[in-house]
Amino acid sequence: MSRRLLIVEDDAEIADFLNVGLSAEGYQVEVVHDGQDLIARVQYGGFQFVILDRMLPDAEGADLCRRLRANGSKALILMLTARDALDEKLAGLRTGADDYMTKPFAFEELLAKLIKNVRGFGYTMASAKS
Amino acid sequence: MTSQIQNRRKSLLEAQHDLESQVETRTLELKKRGEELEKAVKHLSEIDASRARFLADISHELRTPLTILRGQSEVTLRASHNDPERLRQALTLVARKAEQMGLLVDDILFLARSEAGTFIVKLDPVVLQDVVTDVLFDSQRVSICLKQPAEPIIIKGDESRLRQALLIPLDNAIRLTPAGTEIDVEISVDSERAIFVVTDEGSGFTPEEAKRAFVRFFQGSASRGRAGRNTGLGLSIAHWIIEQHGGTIHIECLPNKGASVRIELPLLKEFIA
Repeated sequence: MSRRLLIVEDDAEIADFLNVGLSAEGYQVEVVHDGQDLIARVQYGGFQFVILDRMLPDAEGADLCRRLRANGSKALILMLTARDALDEKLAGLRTGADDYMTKPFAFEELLAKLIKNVRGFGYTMASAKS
Repeated sequence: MTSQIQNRRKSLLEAQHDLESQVETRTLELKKRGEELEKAVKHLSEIDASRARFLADISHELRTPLTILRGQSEVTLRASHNDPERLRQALTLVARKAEQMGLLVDDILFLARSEAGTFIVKLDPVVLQDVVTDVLFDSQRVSICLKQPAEPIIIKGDESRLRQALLIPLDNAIRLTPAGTEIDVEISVDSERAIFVVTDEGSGFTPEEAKRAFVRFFQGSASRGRAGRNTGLGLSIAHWIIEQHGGTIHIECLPNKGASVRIELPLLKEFIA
């Protein structure tokens, strides 16, 4: 099983370290900086993982997440936010995200959350890593 | 007897009327006080909401560079043992982000102190051209066309704060102006005011953005991601300083792109002819 992962993050420097770190872990990473054509991109790009920033210049991450789910996307969606209020987190999860991380976060934790949520999806760690 | 009763009734009626009128006056007064109190509570809640919003924005603005500092360090530590170039790039980025965070903290502290009223703006006679010469000296990297009258323009100001305020639009212009393009700085004077205008041919503001330019942490689309001092607080700081001097600051969008920042400051009274 491939591990195609899409990073949707408008801050180029955050996207860069995520790209480097996740590529080193064996994910096939692509980066976009806005929400343009995201639904089609995820659907036709064969991404199993989406790391989605909550606040994009042209769209709300939460809105995109809701639309991805409404469109039937089964990708594992991990939402990133720079706001840590509880209602923000709950609102993010209610849109259909699998998990939520508040900036700044430990990279190790992000990796662990990707693996943990893959397990929750019914995959095994071995299949996620293969 | 009847007349006595009638007199009593009359005076009782008068007393009753008087009492009613007093009650009415007091009720009106109480209503007015209540309205004033309501207004004060509303004003205080607005201040409170604005402070809470500012705090939330500060937290948001600090989290982004912190995420880069932490993420970049952790990813580099995991991966770059054999790649000195990658290590150098990562450290350069970390140093730059730490510097930007320092500038942001300076700006936040400045605004917090200005709100708390602990900043003393000392107003002395200042020659505007001298302040501008200092400001331009600090920005000598780019080509600046300066127009100013030969006669000294004297205003009442705090020299170091004025320098800080005038440098902000100039820094913005430098950041947003393509290399090789000139920035115009013009100083002039009318009957009561000194006028300082910085005009650039950069990507500027949209008219919508110009309206929000003084809102804390607002950044125009052209400004995002650019290098240099870019905390989103500069124009708020300039606005506060100019206000303390009894002056005004405005932004104009230019039709052929670029923007013009106009600062007007009252002339020293003794200087007005």
